[in-house]
Amino acid sequence: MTPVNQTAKAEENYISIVRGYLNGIKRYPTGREASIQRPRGKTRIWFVIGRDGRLVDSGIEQSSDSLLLDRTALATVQRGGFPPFPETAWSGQTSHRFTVDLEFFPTS
Amino acid sequence: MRFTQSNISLFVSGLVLAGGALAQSTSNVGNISVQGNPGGVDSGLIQQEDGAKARSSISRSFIEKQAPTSNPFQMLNLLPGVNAYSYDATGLFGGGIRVRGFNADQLGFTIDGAPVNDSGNFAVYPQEYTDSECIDNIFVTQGSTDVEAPHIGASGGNIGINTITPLDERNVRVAETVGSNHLNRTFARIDTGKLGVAKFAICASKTRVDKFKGPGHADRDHVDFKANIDLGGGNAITAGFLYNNAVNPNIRALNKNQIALSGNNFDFGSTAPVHKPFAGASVNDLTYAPNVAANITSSTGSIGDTNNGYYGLNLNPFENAIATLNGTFKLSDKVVLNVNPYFWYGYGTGGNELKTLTDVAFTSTQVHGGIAPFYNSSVVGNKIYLYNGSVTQTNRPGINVKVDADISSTNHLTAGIWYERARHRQTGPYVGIDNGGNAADIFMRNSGQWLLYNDGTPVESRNYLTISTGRSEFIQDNITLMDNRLVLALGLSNRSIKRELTNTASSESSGGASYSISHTYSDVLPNFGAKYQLSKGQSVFFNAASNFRAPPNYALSQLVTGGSYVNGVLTGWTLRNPVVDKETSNNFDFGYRLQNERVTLSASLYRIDFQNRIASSYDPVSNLSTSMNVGNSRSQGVELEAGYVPANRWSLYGSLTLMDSKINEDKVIVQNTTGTTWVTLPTTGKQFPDTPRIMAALGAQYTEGDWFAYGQAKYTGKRYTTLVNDDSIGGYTVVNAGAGYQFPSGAFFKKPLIKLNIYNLFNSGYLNLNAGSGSSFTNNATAYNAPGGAVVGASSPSFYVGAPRTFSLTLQSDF
Repeated sequence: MTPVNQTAKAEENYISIVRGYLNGIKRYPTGREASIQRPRGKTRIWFVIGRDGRLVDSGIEQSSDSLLLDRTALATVQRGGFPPFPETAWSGQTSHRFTVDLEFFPTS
Repeated sequence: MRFTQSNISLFVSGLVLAGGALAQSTSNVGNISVQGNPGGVDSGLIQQEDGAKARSSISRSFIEKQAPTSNPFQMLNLLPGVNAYSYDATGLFGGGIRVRGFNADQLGFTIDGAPVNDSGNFAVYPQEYTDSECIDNIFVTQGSTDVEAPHIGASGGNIGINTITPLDERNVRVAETVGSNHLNRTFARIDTGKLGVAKFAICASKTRVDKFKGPGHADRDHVDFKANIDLGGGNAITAGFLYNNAVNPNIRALNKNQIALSGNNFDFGSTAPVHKPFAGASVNDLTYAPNVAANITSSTGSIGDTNNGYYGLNLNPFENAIATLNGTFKLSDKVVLNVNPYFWYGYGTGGNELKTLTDVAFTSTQVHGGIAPFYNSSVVGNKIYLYNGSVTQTNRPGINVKVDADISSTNHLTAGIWYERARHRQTGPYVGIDNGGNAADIFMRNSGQWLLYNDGTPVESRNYLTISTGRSEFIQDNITLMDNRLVLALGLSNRSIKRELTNTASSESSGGASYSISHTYSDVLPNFGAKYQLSKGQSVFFNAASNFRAPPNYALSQLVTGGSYVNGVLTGWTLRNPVVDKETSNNFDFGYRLQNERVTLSASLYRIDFQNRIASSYDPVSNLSTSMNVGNSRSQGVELEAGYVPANRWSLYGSLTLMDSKINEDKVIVQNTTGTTWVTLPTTGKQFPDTPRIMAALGAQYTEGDWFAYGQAKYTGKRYTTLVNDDSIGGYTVVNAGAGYQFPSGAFFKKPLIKLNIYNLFNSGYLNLNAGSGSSFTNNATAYNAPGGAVVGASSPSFYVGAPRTFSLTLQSDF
């Protein structure tokens, strides 16, 4: 395997771990407002993870136009516990920036 | 290979890095789809709650599998803390619900955010609301009321019924349901689909079902409308309208003696009362031989007489409409304004409508000179059967305005106001009945039909107008700390209601003079919640909340004391002080939640301290129902619920409720049998009536391809039926089951569905306490011998007999 492939593989693995993790803790918002409004929408969150896996920073890149969904999406990422980067992934970077789209569907 | 967005971006970011170029590129993790109801097979009985208080809910995937006539109380019955019953299996006759021992009229109900408790006595009539096909979800917050919820009568939590959003695609759905007791229901729903920025849905249904025992049937016509206008940029308006017109007869509540003598199926009779022909001598319908033979009423019938043995004059005609508007406006990226005006209209009557009056010539010493002659004759003293009930008309506009703002990324503020002005007209006119048992006007709308007093004013068994002005100002701050693991919710609401009651002199006991009285009840209610995420799937929460409930408006009625009638007008009377004040409760929850792919579990311990719990109680000596303060009480318990997906296609749900609800004081004082002295009843340490110590529910659902099947069991433990705990009813289990099959869509029929629902599969027999309102209970079922020799007479609690096995079959198709 070439170094490029190794790097790509490691990064792909890492991203799939993050995706799996977020899939495991994702949650449609609950509470009075969510029950009444049942909002639908997509929020894009940006977040920066340090090499050690610590969440360095995060924010909303693209709003769903629903404060409730934006907040829920951001909280999902902020609550995440991420593993350290593998050595070959994003080598030379102290942290890396990610984005994720959380698309919320109420019960159909 | 299919390239998804994440694959591509990953590939690109890999290339970029490999080239050693940008140090900071961005990798897209992809799209994560978050469903309202997660899990492979969703039972719809539990969701992954995230808030800092006890809360349970049901969603469409549960609701759509139930019998389509089901009312919200029935559908909530499996949830922890909830003890619901229905007068029949269909739900069309209404029923009762308690949550943590709180009755429906101590809970705040909303439909799409608009309050629906009666503005006078907080009563809730579940059969009036939305058709089950149009309900999206129903939630319960056990023990504490949401800070922004528009309630002044919720001492025990709130329940929200929320209707569906119109579909994006045009669709027509028609369903026909038949079943036991000649059930027949036709339902139709039309979704317009998206028309530009708007979409609309309208549902209508017509239902008829016979009583499961005794003669009579219920009729219900219902319309739900919803519009959704998406103005873009986070601005949207949702409008809802519901209309309900129903006439359902009472199912007879029985005491244990009646059940022993006549059996569970004893009900009202089918022989109509007839008038004794008037032929120049005064008549008495009560003692007229055909009426006596048909056992229609006891010979002591008078105003207020309830010994009505004829089914056709035991009716609940009711009409109501609710219009709601829900506007969401995004003022900035961080601020959203919510405006929720509503209007509630209700008109109806109910109860036992067969009454008697006796006519007189003008008599100075009676209110309004007494009842005018019936037969246009000088021969008076005629006692005849008439139709009379308590008529209530409510016009209730209100508005809830709220602002949500993200103060910072960790601080979210909600603040708002609620205001409403309910005009509540309560009267009790009398209209004639014919010899076929038909009232001239069952709704009693037509004043031309009303009987008159000798001074020409209409006879009223009560006559008041109440203006109830409710308001609240609320603020809640949600603070997230420790990387969102800790969430704190601090809330404060200032709630008040001003009741202005104007009584017009009527035949009501202690209501014989006209007066106006005003009373404001208010309270500042703090709440605090905290939730801590222990790990990926585990969290704990703590919640402390204060609640309050104003007394019903009738606490300001019947206050006239003393005086004597001169020329038909009471003189020399005084106004008694109202005896009851607000009740307040403090609720504490401590809970644990476990949520992963297979299990959703929630366990909470709770404690409720109740001050001045208002009970209304029937005093057999004075023959009056009186509101009284049963003093302080406390409830504590455990609520557990769990959803489990053991394998594909299966979904299991279970809930367990343990409740200990004790009265802490001896505060109930009643007269002895001979009316010579007052006796304090021994209530300290007694369980609150109608509050089982244990309840358990199980639900199992199997879905495979186009099939589904479910079974549900609910055990409700023993309940005491009196304040002194000298009578009880045993525990019971009701099992319900259902199955459905969806046929392949054809050219004309889309998603045709057949569904069978069975209520009480094993035909268990059981009783539910008839506890009309609030904490309204019988004091003692057996005579109480007080220390010192005084004896307090017994009165018999009455019960609703549980409905036997009942089925319904539904055929449904989209077009």
